[in-house]
Amino acid sequence: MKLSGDTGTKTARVLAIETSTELLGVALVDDTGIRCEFTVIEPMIHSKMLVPLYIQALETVGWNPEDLDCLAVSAGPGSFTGLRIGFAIAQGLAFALDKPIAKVPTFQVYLRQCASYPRVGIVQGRARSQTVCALYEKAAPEAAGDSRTRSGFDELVPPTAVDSNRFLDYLGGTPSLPVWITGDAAEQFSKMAGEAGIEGVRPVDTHLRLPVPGILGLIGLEMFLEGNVVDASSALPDYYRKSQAEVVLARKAKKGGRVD
Amino acid sequence: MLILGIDTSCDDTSCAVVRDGRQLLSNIVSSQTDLHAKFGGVVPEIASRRHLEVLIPACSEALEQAGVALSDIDLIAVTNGPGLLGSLLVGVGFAKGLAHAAQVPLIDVHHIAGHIYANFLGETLPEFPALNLVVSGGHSELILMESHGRFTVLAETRDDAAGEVFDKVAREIGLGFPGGPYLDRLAEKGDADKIPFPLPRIRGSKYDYSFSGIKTRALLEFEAGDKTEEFKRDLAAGFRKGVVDQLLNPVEELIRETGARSLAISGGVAANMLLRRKSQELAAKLDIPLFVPPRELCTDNGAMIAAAGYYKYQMTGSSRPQKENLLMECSAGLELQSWGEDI
Repeated sequence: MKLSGDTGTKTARVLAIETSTELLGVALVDDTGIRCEFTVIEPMIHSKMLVPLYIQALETVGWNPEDLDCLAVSAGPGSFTGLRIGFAIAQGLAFALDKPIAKVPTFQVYLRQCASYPRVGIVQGRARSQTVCALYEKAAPEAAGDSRTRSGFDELVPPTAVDSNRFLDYLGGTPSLPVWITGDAAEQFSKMAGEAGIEGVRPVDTHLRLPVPGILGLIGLEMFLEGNVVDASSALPDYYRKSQAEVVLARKAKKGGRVD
Repeated sequence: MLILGIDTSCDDTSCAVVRDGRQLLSNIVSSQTDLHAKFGGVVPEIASRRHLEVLIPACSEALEQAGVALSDIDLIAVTNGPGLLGSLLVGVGFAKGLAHAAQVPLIDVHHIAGHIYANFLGETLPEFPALNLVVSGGHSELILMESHGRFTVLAETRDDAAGEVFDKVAREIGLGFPGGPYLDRLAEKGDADKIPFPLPRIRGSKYDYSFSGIKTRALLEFEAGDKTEEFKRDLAAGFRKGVVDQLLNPVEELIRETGARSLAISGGVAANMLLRRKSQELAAKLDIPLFVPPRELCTDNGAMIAAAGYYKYQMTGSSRPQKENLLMECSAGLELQSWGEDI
């Protein structure tokens, strides 16, 4: 795929930034594919290491920051702080370079990674009361409904902030089994299902349970070519959940001052 | 040298442009007070989200007001602690991306060093050694500065910070948020001698502060009192005097002991009217020059970070490779160290 132009040599170059989970990743993507991908799985190093890591990637491939056409950032759901680290750095970079940002929905990255599974559940967030869950099913090849995702899945349950126990109850009562679970809580959730006696809820392969920057970059490149990008100043994460303080305040207001 | 200063340590998002550490060209502060008021205190997650929403607008405005472009900036200074970790991470992340892409050196500034350097934004600078009283919602410290970047903490609070107890007592009395400035205005109309708050005795320490005792006493007085407007005014006045007396109590002795040649007050509580008056009286009595920043530079702001960053960069930063700068980390409980000793 090439950008329209007479020379035929212009290609779009994307820097992908993935910080939504404990996996910190950067990738450089152009129309030939993933040119470089670095990942580290280690909590609490994202803020310190992200910039040095992408500088290393740029130097490895021989690109200058000015050569980039777009930044692709994992937009969430994910760790609030993790997402903000990615966006804060991307904002600074994109603002200085005057380049747009493609906000790539993190669950689309999971789906692209898990494209070989017929049915995929995503459970993001390890605290059970603070999870975001979603459910997808491989679409029939000729179907092209509105709920069709980029990776050819139909969206059965859109990303929803819900206690993972409730999501498990829901799965137990649907015909949508077996289902393969991805997300940073995949293993934990599959265990919960086993303990609850719900069969057919299994984790995807270990290497597919966290979103990786290369796939993020490929989707980001598609979005850039579609013009589906935003200015640095309006590039913000999609949190999907309110802060705990707001949840408590809303509950108080609803129940006339009683907090449970 | 043009410095862009960024502070997102608590609930204000601020960007400023300063020339050569002294000349203020712009200072944009986007306050989040309204967002947090209904919670009665700063909610870290809400603060962090808002920082990310307003950083680019604040930064653009700061550059525009200063009449400069990003490409004119020679140094970026950012607060990396102490403060709310989630908030600090936003400012530091943004500053890193900016510094890398704009190929401008990046320097980390301790928030307290920033407050101290608010007094260096101007024509006349404090003479060394300078005794600094830094008072805010998070800090109450007396810090001696023998020269640029040499900090010795001589006294600190054992429990609550002065600004914190002002806010808490104000909240209990039913004043606005944050309560410190409201309490200050209310106290102006009261009689401080009606409900006196004597100095606490702190065992084993000559200079340290403790504000939790008088806070508790103020809350108990309020509970027991008749809650009339007159009572509230007098309570506010007595309590305010108790805090201010304690803040200034060690100053005279410390100035004599250290040979300090100037007294400088900074931090949000430096906007307190009684503290400003009493410190003026004290400085006049001791015949020592007093430095207090204008109100807008007392509360958190990017200009003070730019000023401190300028001097720190001269002392420590100019030879450091940019790759090392970009490894900068944040810490909620960062300790104040003299420059050059933290490398």
